[in-house]
Amino acid sequence: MSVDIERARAQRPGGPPPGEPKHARVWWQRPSIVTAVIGATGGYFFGHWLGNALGSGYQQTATADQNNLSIVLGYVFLTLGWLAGLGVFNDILRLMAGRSIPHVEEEAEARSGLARYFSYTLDHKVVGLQYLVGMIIYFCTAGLFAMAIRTELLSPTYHIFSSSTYIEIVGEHGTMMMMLMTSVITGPFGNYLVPLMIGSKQVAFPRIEALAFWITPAAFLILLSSLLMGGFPFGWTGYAPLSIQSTEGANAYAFAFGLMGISIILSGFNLIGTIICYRAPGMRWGRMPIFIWGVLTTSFMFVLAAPVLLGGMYMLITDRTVQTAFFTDNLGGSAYLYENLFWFFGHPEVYLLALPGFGVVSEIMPVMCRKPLFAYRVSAAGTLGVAILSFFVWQHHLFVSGINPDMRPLFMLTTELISIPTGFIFLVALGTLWKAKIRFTVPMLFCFAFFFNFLLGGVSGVFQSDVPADVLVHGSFFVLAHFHYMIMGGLIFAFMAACYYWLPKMMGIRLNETLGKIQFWTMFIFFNSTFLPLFAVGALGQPRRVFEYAQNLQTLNDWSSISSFLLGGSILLFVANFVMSTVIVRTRETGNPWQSRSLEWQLSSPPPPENFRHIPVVLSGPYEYGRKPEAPPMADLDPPLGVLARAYAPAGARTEVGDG
Amino acid sequence: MLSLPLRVAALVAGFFAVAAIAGFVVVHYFLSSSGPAYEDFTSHVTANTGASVNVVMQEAPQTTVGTDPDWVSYFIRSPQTHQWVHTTNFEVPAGSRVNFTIYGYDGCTPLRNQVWGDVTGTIGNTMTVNGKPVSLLNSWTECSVAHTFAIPNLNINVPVASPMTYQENQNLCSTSPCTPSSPHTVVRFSIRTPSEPGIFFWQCKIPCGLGYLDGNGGPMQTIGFMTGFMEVVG
Amino acid sequence: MSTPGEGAHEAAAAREPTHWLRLLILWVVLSLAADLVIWFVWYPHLPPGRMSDVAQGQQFDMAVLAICGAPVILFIWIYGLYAVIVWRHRPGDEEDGPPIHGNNRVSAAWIMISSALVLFLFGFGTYQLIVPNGAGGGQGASPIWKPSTVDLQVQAIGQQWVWTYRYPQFGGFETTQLVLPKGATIEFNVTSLDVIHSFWAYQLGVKADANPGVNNIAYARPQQLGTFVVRCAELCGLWHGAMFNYGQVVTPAAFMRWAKTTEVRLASLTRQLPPYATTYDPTVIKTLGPVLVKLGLTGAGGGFYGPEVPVQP
Repeated sequence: MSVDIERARAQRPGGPPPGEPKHARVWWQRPSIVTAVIGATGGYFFGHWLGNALGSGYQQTATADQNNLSIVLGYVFLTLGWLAGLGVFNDILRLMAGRSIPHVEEEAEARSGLARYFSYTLDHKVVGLQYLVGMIIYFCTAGLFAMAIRTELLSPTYHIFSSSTYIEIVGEHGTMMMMLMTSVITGPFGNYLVPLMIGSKQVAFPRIEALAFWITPAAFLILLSSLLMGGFPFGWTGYAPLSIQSTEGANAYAFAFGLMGISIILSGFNLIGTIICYRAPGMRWGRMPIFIWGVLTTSFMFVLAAPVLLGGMYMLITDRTVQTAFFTDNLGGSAYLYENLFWFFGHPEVYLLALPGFGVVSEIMPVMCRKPLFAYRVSAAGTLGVAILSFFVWQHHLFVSGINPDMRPLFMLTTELISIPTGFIFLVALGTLWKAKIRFTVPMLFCFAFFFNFLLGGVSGVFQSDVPADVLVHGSFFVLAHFHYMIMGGLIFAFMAACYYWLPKMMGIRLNETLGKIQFWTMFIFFNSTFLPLFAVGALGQPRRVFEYAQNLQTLNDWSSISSFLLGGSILLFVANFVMSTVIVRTRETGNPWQSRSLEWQLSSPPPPENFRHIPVVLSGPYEYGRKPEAPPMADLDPPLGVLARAYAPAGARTEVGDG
Repeated sequence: MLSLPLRVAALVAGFFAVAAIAGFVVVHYFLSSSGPAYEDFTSHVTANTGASVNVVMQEAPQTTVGTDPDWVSYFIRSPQTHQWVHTTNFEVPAGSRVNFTIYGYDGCTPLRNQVWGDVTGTIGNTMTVNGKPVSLLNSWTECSVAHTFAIPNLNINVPVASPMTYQENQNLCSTSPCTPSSPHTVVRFSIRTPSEPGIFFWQCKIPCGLGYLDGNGGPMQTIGFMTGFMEVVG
Repeated sequence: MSTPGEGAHEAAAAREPTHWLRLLILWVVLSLAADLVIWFVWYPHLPPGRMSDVAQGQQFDMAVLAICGAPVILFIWIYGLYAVIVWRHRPGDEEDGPPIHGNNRVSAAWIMISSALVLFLFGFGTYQLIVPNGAGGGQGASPIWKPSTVDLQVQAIGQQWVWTYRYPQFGGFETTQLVLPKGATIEFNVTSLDVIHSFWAYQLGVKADANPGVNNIAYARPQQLGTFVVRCAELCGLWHGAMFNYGQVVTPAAFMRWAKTTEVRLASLTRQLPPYATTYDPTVIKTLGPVLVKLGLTGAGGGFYGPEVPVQP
């Protein structure tokens, strides 16, 4: 028996005084995408003017016919204007002025369905869906650049693009993917599902979460705008001094990457706070879904690694604009400084691309195998081990760059050690498959493919950790094949698995199963067909980012290119399936189609706005399959009166009726 | 939610809009930016017959045609119209002799590596500067090299001499393309093109990208200014 | 494989304990076969070939890594395939699988075996790094794994966008040609004049980044005559993809002939170059002529910082 209690608004400090009438504001007083664009445009022109006022006196500006300072300041104010136009700063400014915060939530909910998704909203479920659509758009755009790269590499001698266009395309593809796909799983699925999985009504910092999302379109468009200024010729790694030498497009690279770094730091803070502090009673660490472990460790890595990126990009910008000399050797700086700053972030970056994938597939497999997750503690230890060790391996990108040779065996050791916790994930998967009753749904197919791809990627990683073998393959297509197997074969396949698995929960519709199976098989076959030959191409001597290569490698390159076009087709199939299923053929799926025991599936699909009517009490872990008799549901959504109050009350206090 | 036909219509319209934008970007920005035009020196000449073609170029200190007036640039004289064209791409026949004439209107800058003051890869490993044969220019002790014309993959390197006197260096040409009334040098050399067709990039070796680190940015890395393609056509 | 219905329960009970045995046998047989194929068929043809001692070492490393990696890959593949065939969901069976939460012995065995494999690879890799004097990789300015004697020093200077080579033992002449004698231990000193490049002599198995103002040393000993390709392996600007040249390994006698004649031929050029050094600062030109000083040219800095900046020479 429970008592119907009005929804508390405890999370909004300085909340509205009771009885304040609601009023609808005029459209141009309400923050929206339109005001955001206006703010961004105005901000850019202001920043550009400011940069010209400050920097046109430099001799460098006069002789180079470019003013980097005006471009960078333009971007700074563009971002601030964009965010201000969205209403991000409104609540903070109101509180600072001592005023109360109006009924933003009702206002947001009062908008028609689609308009909510284009606004700055505090509902984590809306933010999750915004992330989902955004990530698909970013992925497909960067994927188009990849198609262009493979088109150019069809022939070693006939060049479809001019060399400068080609190198711009290479940089755009790499940077867009590496920058934006950091949040491809934590953004949509982390933000959406973490509160549902831990029994919370909302995230810890909804404003920060929404801010982290709204930074991403700005970062995406700023990166694209680089093409208008001639692009940047140094790939996603941005090695100085080449990045200092480049023309104006490089400013967009540094700024967009730094901006995205801010986004992931913010997202990390929010998720850490939510997971640590907002778990429902009974949700012990040992009962947390493994996906949450993945998101938690990823979030810690966001918060610890991204600031180093920000520092490096900031120094790059100052070197380019106000003539500091951090990375310029003949003026007292060092090119090595940039390499180390970048890779100290860059290596954890690739693990934060991998860990959410681990979380997703480890989460899906027990459901589809109808068995508990094998060795749960080992799995959690594996994700923690990968996260911690990832900060100790970055010099393996620099084995031949002339670092202190003593360091190389050390980093060879740490790099090879990191394959041990990674192996734990495989142990857990294999153990979960043992004597299971595997249902070959589309998410499960993607999970199998994840492990297949990650295995090849991981073993090739061990090849590279061996320094003599790295001398052969560093900077070649072998490395490229390795990380595409890890990131695309791992992360993106996990993303697809997550989409097919959780879309019924998130949108109340299901993706077409037949089309999904076709999409899976085409994607899997053509993905392997594209990247497997590239191991050979690299070991046979083709460096990365080249537009010319040895004639005898043309057959392999052509095979890879044609496969990549077909791979692009299969991604298109996914987008078509997604759009078709969400817009046109909306097959309702409101129950628990996968018969999962996890807490989020105990709610309706999609969940109600406040997630849980009452904070649930968690009674067991999410993987209690196979028990005879069948285990009760994971949590009690309707806890008896006083249970929560007693759980939270200090010893001896008088208990009260309430949700706690 | 809107009705089904409306949703389908909106979706189709959205799809075409996205496809149109993507197509526009691809065609306008990527495919059409194959770079500046190729000056064609292969008409009236058959490849691999030992024939001769003449290529005339100039390097100008200020590129007043365009948005980067402080960038230096090469120009090529069109064989058909005999007008100066702002491009650095040209086609020559394979297996032939190509006689270059380069007008050097720009002043001197020291080379980052003086090895590029040595003439290599030309017929006789020499060039003529204002009629006199020269095979080594010292850009460090004399004010003698303005830019270079180098095709690294054919091992060709020619330092283009600059006007030699202090007086001339104060009165350099300030518009582009330059005319012979401004101080200049005339550099002539010849090369033999390979017998197999191919596309070879050529570059300047002087750090003439003023304002860019190491002098190697800006015009040095922009096709149409101080670097380009020589296409050998079979 | 299964006969559902009568006797299924007994058959299942009788069948259950042999999963691991089947998997083990399958795995051992296939791994052995794969490893034998790798060692005897593939190993002699693995990249980068045997043109130098370090290249041969890299080839050996690739073979050993492949031999270690193949059983790992096969294990996962065999297990996965077995699971797909044997443990699939039969239609009509709505029961869950057995509630196995973990198995400490299996987990412990896995951890120990993977750790042992990893530590073996670490030891092997370190040995293979030290013994061939750094395995052809750049060791920085102070290498710690050096050969006992160095026969030939070659400096590879990276600049945008071509490699030049200096031979200090022959007067320090600088050329775009790379000619090496067979059988000689060669010390490559790699540096750059502008941005970061990477000297990759593919068939020789040498790769060392060229950093501005830094010397990066790598060792190799060519053991076969022939041609090799040198490519730049670090993105260095617009023409990175075309920054390559070919090198030659010739007999020692032919090499001496070439070196001596080139030294003579390039003598006047060598006199103009700065003396051989392990790094160069192109903004400091000691022989800058009075004309250039008078014209206000301050060396090859490109005017990045104005001449009024005191650091600019």
